[in-house]
This record gives sequence, C-alpha cells and structure tokens, in this order.
Amino acid sequence: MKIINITIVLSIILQMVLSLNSFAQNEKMNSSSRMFEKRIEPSMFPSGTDNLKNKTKMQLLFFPDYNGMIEFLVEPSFCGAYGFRITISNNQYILEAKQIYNWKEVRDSLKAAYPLKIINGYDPQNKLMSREAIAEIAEYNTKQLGEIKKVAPLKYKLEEDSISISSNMANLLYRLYVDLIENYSNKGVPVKILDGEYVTFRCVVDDEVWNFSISNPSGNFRRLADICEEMAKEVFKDKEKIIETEYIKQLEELLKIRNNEFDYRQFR
Amino acid sequence: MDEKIEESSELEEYIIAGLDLKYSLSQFKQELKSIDMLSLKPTLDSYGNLVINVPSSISIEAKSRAFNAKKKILLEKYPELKNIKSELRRDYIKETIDNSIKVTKAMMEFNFITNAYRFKDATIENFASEQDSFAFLDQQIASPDYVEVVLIVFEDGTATTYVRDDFTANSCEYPRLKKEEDQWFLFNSQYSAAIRYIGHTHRSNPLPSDEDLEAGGYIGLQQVIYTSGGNKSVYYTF
Repeated sequence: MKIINITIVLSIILQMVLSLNSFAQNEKMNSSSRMFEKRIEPSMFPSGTDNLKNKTKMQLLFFPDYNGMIEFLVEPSFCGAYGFRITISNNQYILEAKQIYNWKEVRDSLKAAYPLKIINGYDPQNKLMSREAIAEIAEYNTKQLGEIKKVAPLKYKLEEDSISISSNMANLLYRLYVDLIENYSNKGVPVKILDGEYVTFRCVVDDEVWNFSISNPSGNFRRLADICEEMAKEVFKDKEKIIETEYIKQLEELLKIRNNEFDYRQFR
Repeated sequence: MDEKIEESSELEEYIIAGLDLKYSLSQFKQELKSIDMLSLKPTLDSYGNLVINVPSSISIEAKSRAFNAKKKILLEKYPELKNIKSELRRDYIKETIDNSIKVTKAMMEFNFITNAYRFKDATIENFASEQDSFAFLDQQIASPDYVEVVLIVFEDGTATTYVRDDFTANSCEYPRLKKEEDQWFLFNSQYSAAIRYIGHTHRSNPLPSDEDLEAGGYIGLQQVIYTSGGNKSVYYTF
C-alpha cells in the first residue's frame, strides 16, 4: 500500500474539476469511418503481363483479362453487381459496361442448395432451446453461407455493352480516381455496416495499379460512386441517349470541390 | 482549427493521461469509502503543514505527474494552445476524442463510459422480451416507410430496437459494441446486460448479404437476420 498526501489529492481534484470537464464530452463518435482497403502494387508481373493477382473473384468475373485505365465495380446487397472499365484502343476511349443479369435466380437456387436452419422466435418450443443448440445452428448456417459466397460468382452471368467516350470525360474520371484514392485517410473506429453496397475503384497510375474498395462510400467517394453508377446504368438503359456533357459537368463540380478542399487545408 | 494539432500524438497522449488520471480518481474515491477517517492521525510536515496520510493502492500523485508531463510536452510543441480560447481548446480535445482510435481504446480500457452517446440520434424502443420486440419488427417490415432496424436481445431476456435517421430500406449500422471476457456489451451505454444476440431486419431474404458477413471482429457474437413472423437466421462473422 502506498501512502499519499491528502493535500495533494485535494488540489488535484480541484484542478481536475477545472480542466478535465472536456474529457466527459464525447457526444458523438465519428460515424464516417468505414472498412476499406487501399492497395498499391506493380501494374505488371515480371513476365510482362498485367498484375491481376489480388483482384477479387467478382473483379475477375467482370474484368478478367487485363487492368483497364480505370475500373469501377459496385456490389449491392440486394441486386446484381455492375460496373465498367475504360480502355484506350486506337486513340479512342471505350467505356465497357457489364452487369449480372441472373443474380436473383442464382441466389434463389443457392438458397435451395445450401438451406439455412431458421429459428422461429415466436415458437414457444424455442424457449427450451439451449445456448449450445443455437450456437450449433449458427455454426451450421455460417458454413452454408460460406459455401454460397464461394459458389455464387461461378454461377453469375454477365451482359455487356460499350460506348465510345471523349478523352475529356475519361481524363476527368481518371484525375478524380487518382486524387481521391491518393488522399483518402481513415479517421476513427470504423462502423459496422450492414447491407448497402461494396464499391471498388481501380486504376493504373504509371507503373502501379491502385485498388480502393469501401463499404457504402461517403463524402467525395459517394459523389464519384453516384456518377459512375449512373453512367453504368445508362449504358444498359439507353446508350444512344447518354448526355456526356451532363456527366462532365458533375465531374468538374466534384473536381472543384476537391480543389477547394485542398486550398482550404493549405491556408489554414 | 489546425489539423496538425488535432491529429498530433502529443494531444492524444495528453487526453489519455487525463483519462487515466480521472479514472484513478474515481477508483480512489471508491477506496476512500472503505477507509475509517476517524482512525487517521494528522501530523506536521517539515514546513509545518498539517498533513493526513491516507492508505491507498492508487498513486494519484504519479498519475498527476504523468498528466502534467504530457501537458508540458503538448504546450512545448504547440505553444499557441496557451493563448486560444478555452472553447477552441475543448473543440480540439473533442475532435481528437471523436477521431482517435488510441483514445477510443483508452476509453474502453478505463471503462470511461458514462453517457449513451451512440444512441443520441437514434430511435430506441425497449421491450420486456424478444417476443415483444418481434411484434414491433413485423410492424416495421410491413410499413411503407420501411428502413432496416437493428435488434439487440440481452442475456436478461429484454430486447431493444435501434433505428437512425440515416438508415435506409437497404442499409443500416450496428451501434458500437465492446467485448469483456467472453461477452459482448453495448459500448458507452446505460444497458449493462450482456448481449445474447444482435441482428437486423431484411424484408424477406433470410440470407445475410456479403456486407453482413464481412468481418467486424465480433468473435463469438451471435448475429441474426430477422425477416418476419419471428423467423430469424443466426450466423457468426469472424
């Protein structure tokens, strides 16, 4: 047991009352932080072929052969994934859009092939169900869900379409990709997101390939994802009616927001 | 506000030392209750001050010294903090508390939890049993304004539902949780019972989405998808 001097304690208590009130203030956690992955790798393998090593199964399903100048993929919780990549061919910028068209069919068939054990909470019998029995069901379901996750990408089918876009639009998108990925930093403890969408932005920068994936993006990544999602959907809806100037306007506005943010950081 | 100060390790260390000191003081307060004050004898120190020595296992003096040392380091690096208004100083501390993983961990470690701030912007409904909460969830699922609802069932048999303004029909978030020994609890909340399971609603599909299955570090925590009619599929994430 240590002996302490009560006069010191009293003075400290007074000091604490005056200076530490702010430690009791923690009204709201930062809720913008979420799970993400940012990965930078060489764009090529030693063999001289494109480095696709860390593409996910879904990325490989959509863009299996090489890295586009930029790639965009969105995987929503309640419908099929879709996305696009931009490539350059004969000085032409091509936007190749793809979407899964049999998502529901695959999910339904997998649900039947790997059924889950469902507990009915209203059933009075369940009051008798032990923790162990419920844990056993949870383990069984987790195993089944793991199988569904593994098998699903193998069964999905894609429809594809492409349009030619201006170098202005392609370059605006590219600049925003590079800027947002480069400057993204995590703040705070991420929140656990349920459902929503998982979005991947991938681009080739010099001799590197940058890959950024995030759950339910917010802020500027949300704005960029909204523009990209709209573009991908439009290709399948009515590609003849795509008004490029509208997208260019939105991309320029986002770039302006980013430039202002940069200036603000520099001068304060 | 200067981002460099907000994100500095010196401010983080200062806040953590403050939390440590405040936590030690609360522990000391508990110890004081068990001491018979009448048995303590005052003595005169070498300066002629009347001093009472209190037996304690906690060295407040050491904690106070550590706190003052961190304060000195902080002010040496950012002397401008001495001259700014106290409101701005508080804002710096608040920003760092809100955004620092280290500070959040320290708050968990010191059990520095007094208010239910995660629930501040949320609509909470409390129920005596999980069956009672199911009736509420069924009502929500049938509503034309449906948004996903988080359900928390506690070991004492009670249940709570949690909805925030930013939840949608296709997305929601868990409130912050913490693990103590082998049990999970709501972080920074007045609910002291351990969580039996946590889940959220889907309108019809009992399968958790890929996002639901993403690792959140919730080892051993049972999670469920509640559809309707009391039906729930239970699963784990790792």
